[in-house]
Amino acid sequence: MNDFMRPQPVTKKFLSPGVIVLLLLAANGLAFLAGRFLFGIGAVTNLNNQYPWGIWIGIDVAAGVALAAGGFTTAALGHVMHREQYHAVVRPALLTAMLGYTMVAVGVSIDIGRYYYIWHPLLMWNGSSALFEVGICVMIYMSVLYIEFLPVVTERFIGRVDLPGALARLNAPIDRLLRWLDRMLDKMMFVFIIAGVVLSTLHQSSLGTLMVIAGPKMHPLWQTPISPLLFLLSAVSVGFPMVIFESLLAARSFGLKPEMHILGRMGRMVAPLLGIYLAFKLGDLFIRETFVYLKTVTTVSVMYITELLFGVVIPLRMFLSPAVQKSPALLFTAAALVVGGVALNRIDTFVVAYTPPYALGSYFPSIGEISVTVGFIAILVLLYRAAVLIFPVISLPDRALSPQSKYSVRG
Amino acid sequence: MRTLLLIGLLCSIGGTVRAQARVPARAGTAAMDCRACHTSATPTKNSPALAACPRLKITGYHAVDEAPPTLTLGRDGATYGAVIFAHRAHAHMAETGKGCNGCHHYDQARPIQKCKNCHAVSRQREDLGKPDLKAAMHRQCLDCHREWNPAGSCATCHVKAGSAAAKGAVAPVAGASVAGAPVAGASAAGAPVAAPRKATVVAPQRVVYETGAKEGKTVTFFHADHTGRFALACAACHQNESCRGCHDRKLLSGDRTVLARQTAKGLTDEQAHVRCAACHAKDECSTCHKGMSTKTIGFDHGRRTGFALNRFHAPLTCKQCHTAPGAFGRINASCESCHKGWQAKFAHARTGLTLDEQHKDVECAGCHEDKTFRDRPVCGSCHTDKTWPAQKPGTAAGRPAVKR
Amino acid sequence: MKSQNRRSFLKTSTAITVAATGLTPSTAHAGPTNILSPDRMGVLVDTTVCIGCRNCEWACKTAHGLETPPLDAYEDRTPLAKMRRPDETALTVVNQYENPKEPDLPITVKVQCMHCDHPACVSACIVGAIAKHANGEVVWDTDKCIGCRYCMVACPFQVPAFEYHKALGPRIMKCDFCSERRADGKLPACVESCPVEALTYGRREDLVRIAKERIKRSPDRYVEHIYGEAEVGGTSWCYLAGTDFDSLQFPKLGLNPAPGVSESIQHGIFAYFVPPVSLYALLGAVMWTSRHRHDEEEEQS
Repeated sequence: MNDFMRPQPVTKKFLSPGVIVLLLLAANGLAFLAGRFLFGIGAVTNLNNQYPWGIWIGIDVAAGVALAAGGFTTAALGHVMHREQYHAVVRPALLTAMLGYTMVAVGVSIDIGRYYYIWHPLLMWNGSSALFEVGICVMIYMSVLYIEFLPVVTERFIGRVDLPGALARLNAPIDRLLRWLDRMLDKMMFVFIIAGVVLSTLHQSSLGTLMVIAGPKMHPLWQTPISPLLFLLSAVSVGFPMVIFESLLAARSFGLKPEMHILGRMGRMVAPLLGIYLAFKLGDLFIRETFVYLKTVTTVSVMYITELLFGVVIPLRMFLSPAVQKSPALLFTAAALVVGGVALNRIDTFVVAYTPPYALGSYFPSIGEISVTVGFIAILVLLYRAAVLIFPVISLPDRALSPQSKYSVRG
Repeated sequence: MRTLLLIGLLCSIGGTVRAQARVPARAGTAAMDCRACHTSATPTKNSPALAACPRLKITGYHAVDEAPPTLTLGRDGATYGAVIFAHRAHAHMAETGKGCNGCHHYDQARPIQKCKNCHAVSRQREDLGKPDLKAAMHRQCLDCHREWNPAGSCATCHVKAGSAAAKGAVAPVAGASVAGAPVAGASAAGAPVAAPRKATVVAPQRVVYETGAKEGKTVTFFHADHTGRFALACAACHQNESCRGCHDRKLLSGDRTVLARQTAKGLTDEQAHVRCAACHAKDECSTCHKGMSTKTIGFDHGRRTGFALNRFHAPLTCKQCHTAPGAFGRINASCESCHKGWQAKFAHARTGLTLDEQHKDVECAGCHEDKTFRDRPVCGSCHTDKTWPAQKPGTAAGRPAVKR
Repeated sequence: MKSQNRRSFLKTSTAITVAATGLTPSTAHAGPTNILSPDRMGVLVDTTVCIGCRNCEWACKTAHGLETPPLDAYEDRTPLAKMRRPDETALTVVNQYENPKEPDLPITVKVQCMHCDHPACVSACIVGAIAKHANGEVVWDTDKCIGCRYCMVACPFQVPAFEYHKALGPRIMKCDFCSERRADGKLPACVESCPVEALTYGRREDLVRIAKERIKRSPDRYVEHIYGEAEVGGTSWCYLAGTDFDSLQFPKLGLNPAPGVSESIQHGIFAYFVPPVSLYALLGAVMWTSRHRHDEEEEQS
């Protein structure tokens, strides 16, 4: 490393033409969301008694959880395996995961009929329910993510607490609290980091168990007892591509120099992970002899082939190439393909593969559903932008400071 | 009086129960619950564990016209009232159907039992093996009612609460009159029932049957003549039939004077003729099968009976040999059974052989060892010593032409 | 993390592992009521007896306080022409199918919750809001339900319905086997109202025996199959039919309980919390060694 990289707030204006588009999309989504809260889920969505789950679960929740896997994979790489060279991407990944899981939680809340009972799973347990396991793990993991992010907050505010007017008297106690928190977290952080990895492993796989109970309603291409394993493997494979994807996107957006030396090396690690995923996926295809469903051109066969070819096979080949590891454009393409492929896999599993025995029609998301989902993604991007402008998340070149580890105390 | 058939006679006629599936329920042979007669579920030959036989309490049979004219079934409910059941009218209809036994099942020979003696009044009960009272009654009625009138509703039998009929007005039964036929059941007309119903049976003038015969293919049955001029009651011909046989909605809407029917496939000749044979046993085939000559009725006498008709027998009518009344049954194939004492006056020369002195007094059976006279005897069958003359006995006269 | 030494790391890890293990016995068995009593009640639906009068639909709606026209409006048979499913406005519906034996008398089939012996919905429900009681009923608890509709995803018979057009307090609507009426000693409303007793209510064991007797006594009337006797591990409601169940749109299901695979995976991952705790310990070990190595490298340099 030539320049010493240090996480610090990006100095840019929040508003930009792109941001305004995102704000509009977010507002549109929120408008439809208001409709859902005023008139019920049926007023906004195309969901019915035959198709109880739609894209709010398929994309907002399932794909959301999968794409937030960058958090735990980089944490495992950076902290558990202690590869310090990757520390620069840990914080952006952590932020993405934190925001992603927040959106997942919000997405679940709006999709369930009785959002005000969202806390029920904390008290009312059902050990045999895969959904309970997902729910409880997501709740705990989200808390863990917030705790993991706390040092970033303390780092930002220790010595800088400056409340206006009458609240100024609280400045000193808050500062003391922050310092205490910082010390405590420093000692305890490893507990949360490991917990985060374990929790992620658990619920990423349990997400795959979710649709197993639907049994014959599921298309055989996706209905497999190893679905939890496939979900875990795909989540692990999508972690780094997601970090690459958002790092390159953020670098482009903020006009920064992409950290190709880290990202390229990450890309090299993706290939074997994708390879393992592909092996299991193909093994499942041939052991259960479900390839027979691919012989005819139908929606499901096209979706499956797309998911496998563009989401796994092509990016796998790309990540193996040194040229791709060096070129930001190619690396971005490869990462985007994996991200898209895994997202598609979640949509396939939760929406496309689901065929009710007494279907009176078929399901396609309504404008309301799409608006809300798009709105959520827009809000996610906006929050990310706001967060990196406020908090020291993205590592920028900084020669002025001496080397420090991530949890070092400032001020 | 033919119309007053004894119940015992009727009760011997089984029936079929129809729901969604046709189920054979011939009383007596139907797979009935063992517990109807046995007190144990596993009776053995030595200890049959028989229940007290209800037949011991036979009080005598009664005529259909002695049946109660109406019965009130069920109770008034919130939406539908009880059913005033035209019992006697149904009893008359039952003469052509399953008989009294159709409803009074397992109960053919004893005093009529109340349904609730076996069928529990409450649906919450110990023995779930048989339907409760309400279900048993509904099933009993609906088995037939749905069959001949699938479009019927609750109000077909029940008075709707609040309707005019429910307030005391009763309409005369219209269900038991058969146009063009004197029916004993008509005496039930005027009995009060819940609602007027138009289940009138329209008897056809003629029924044209298409038979499988080669000649005289169609048989026209003059139904109106039989019911009118000959005053035959329905039950005289129609027995053990389904309700739909008479109560056919399609018949009511279409041309009712001439019905086209095909004789059922797979019937034996005897089965196909059984209804008519009771009266028409002595008639020629051509009486009904117009234009059918006996010779060409399409009946291969030799193949079917083993008695091929030779040139002498072929021109005869069936009745000349099959003299017994009823359908054409098997008769003794020996010549003697028809041609009594023919041997005494038989001119043997007609066979082409004049008997000489030596043979003249030999018994017929002496040479014709088979009694059918089919096979021509040769000398060697009697004479083993080969001492017969070169010439056959007698003169070989020219055969006279056989008159046809 | 310089301020932390290896010993404290180890100590905390051990404490957490012990704490997690200590939780095990109490949490591993957490779950909803799911009782499979040998005395559970059921209903035998004889579709060869059913006349399609839809009195059961009326009785069900009346008993559950759902909107319904008066009983005599049900004499109209036209709704039978269209395939319907139980939904939030009707917990049971009767459908009509062609009768190969008697074209004039179509087969009518009542549809409602089957009250499975091993219900997928009970296994699936995130908060255990659906329970199988000793009397056979599978019932839903409004005080627990969060409205996630996972039960609808899980149900192999596609029975639970949801009030999509309610902004507050939407309910999962499905046949509750007349839980309240039965608690009062009454029959389920549909069973009580059936004029021909096509629905026989009794102990499930007795019903299966009666069904077998009926098949044996009238082999021409019935196909030799009691739907629900073995499907998805058995259901409290069972069906008899005179024709192939496939042609009556009964789903072709295996004999294994619907939640089987899902639960075994779930219990495999969480077998007494051993796999998660082991993973935690493993990761702790990896973290410790990698840090150890890193520290040594730093010391050497």
